[in-house]
Amino acid sequence: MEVVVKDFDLVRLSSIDYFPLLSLPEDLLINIVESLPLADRTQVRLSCSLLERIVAKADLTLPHTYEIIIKDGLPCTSIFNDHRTMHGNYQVAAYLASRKAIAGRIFLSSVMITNLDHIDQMDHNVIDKFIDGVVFNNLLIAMGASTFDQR
Amino acid sequence: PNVKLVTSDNEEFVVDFRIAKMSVTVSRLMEAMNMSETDDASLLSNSIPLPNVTKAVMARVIEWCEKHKNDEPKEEKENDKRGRTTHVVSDWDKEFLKNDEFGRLCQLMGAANYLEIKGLFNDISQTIANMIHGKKSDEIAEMFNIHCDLTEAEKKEIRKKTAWCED
Repeated sequence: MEVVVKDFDLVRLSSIDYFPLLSLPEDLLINIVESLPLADRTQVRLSCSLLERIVAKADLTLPHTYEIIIKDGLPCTSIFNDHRTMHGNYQVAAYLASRKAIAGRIFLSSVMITNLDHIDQMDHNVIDKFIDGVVFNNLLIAMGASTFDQR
Repeated sequence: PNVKLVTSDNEEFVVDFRIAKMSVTVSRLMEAMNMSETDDASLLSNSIPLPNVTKAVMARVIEWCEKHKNDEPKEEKENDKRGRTTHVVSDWDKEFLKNDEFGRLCQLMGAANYLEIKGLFNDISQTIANMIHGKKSDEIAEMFNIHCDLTEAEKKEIRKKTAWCED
């Protein structure tokens, strides 16, 4: 019986001695990637197509906590507790768009609207725009340290 | 009591029962073969075949297990707020893993995964992650001998997708 070795398998097999990292099974590579901060993951993604695919897959399984901070009635948004200026709005939009592009949907563990000094000043349209299409477990609206509302 | 482990290249290692039990895989095999700590005859008459581990790698695994055999079970932290799992590699482990060239480190990681020795597996995984940390993509490619097959357009697209996490 003749066994035909496909190009992909040939490359994969021939890489074992020379490219030990790429010869690791995918689940082990994902484990390594999961220990990396997000900025490092981007650099790993840029190093080759195999790692790009693996990191993208690992990122999809990440639980994220998404926090929206309201300042002067507008969301001054942060991701992963990075307190940012309004520039963060653009970054969150880019983040959501990229995850939508990869996953088709976004799953976030919670959306938190916090630091509400004046609830009446909240711009609901902007908030709706941010969380539109986002799948999440909890929406927490907090005033200071205490939870104001939950649904 | 001692347990006999046989590697893929037919080398027999005789290890302490406590060390053998550090591997979930070996524990399960011993259970399946009715080998128990209190039954010397069962330990003497059986050996555990480990077809996915070579002699050289097994020697390193046992060295790591010897050092950690009295450790309390460690609770791993789950994801931190930046979405990554964290594991602290002790100074001894750093020194231990420093001696392995990268290809061997990957073999050791494969063995730790097969043998289900969580502590060793996490140590190696974190060590490789630490090697990557702070490096640019071309430095990562060079370090791991990776040929970058992405086009400039594909790289641009990745940068665009990940711009939000690059401060």
